[in-house]
Amino acid sequence: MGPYRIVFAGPIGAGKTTAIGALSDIPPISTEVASAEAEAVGKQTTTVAFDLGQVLLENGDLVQLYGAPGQARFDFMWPMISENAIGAVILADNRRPDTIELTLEYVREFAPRVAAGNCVVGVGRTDAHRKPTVDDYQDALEAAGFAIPVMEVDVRHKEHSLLLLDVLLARLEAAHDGA
Amino acid sequence: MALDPRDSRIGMQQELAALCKQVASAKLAAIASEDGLLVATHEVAEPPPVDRKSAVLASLIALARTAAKEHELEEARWVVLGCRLGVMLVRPFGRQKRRLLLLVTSESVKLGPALNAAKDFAVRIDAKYGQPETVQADAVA
Repeated sequence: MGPYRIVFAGPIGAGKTTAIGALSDIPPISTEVASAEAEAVGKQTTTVAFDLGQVLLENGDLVQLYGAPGQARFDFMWPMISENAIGAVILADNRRPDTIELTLEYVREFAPRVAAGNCVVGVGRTDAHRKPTVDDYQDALEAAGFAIPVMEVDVRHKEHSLLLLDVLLARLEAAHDGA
Repeated sequence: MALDPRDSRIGMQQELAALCKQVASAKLAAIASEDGLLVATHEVAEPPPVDRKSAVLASLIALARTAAKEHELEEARWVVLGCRLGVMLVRPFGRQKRRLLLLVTSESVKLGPALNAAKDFAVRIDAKYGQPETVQADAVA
């Protein structure tokens, strides 16, 4: 079946390009360029259009992985990238002091754009930054009215990111079964 | 001596204004960074650094590069967008500091002279303002 489209979103430096690079079965298409704000954002490069990779799941489903540019000035790309998407992976960067508020912003942006509001939050860089915890994210999301799973991930590892995809697909199936 | 970013912006603004005069029916000339931040326009007013049009430009060039790569055409040197009410020319330039030159004309323009003017402009601007600030500082030391 497929191909299905899944969107990776989140702030600059959250690991969207890395996740797609780790997951993709093909060399991903990348639109990274040198960042003029490297010092301010703590990252030398940034995505200015999208990342694109694809992965063939064990069940035979082909999934296209689209990475959204993180900065708000590229928000015109978000609807294009999200069109017909079956879900969104929202990546959070636990180094940021405002990570929970930022995560909520991205969930509010992307949940209405994907099928059945199907999202999952992956929290990165928790090894060096233990707080906020997954429960903190979960509480904030629930308080904002979102029933969305949250899990710790290291997007450099394919199996971590695959788990995020599995959760998204399982939630989509559950939504279809319940409909 | 390292250039003050404000001085270089004013210098670029003057060069952009001259480019606008040189190209018939030009109505906008601007320079943006490759990651979509506005650097200067042909107008005297200080441009807002975060500008949606510059971000769109950065995405457009990135997609053009992707298309060029898919067709094994190597570097994308130009994007020319012919529209009902005018033409957009975009030229990435700069050896060290990569930037985007945008030239918008209000009607069909003779492309050859416009492309040449934009190419000469890019070479001149890169020679004047293309070095990273640290390199300029080192040169003084």
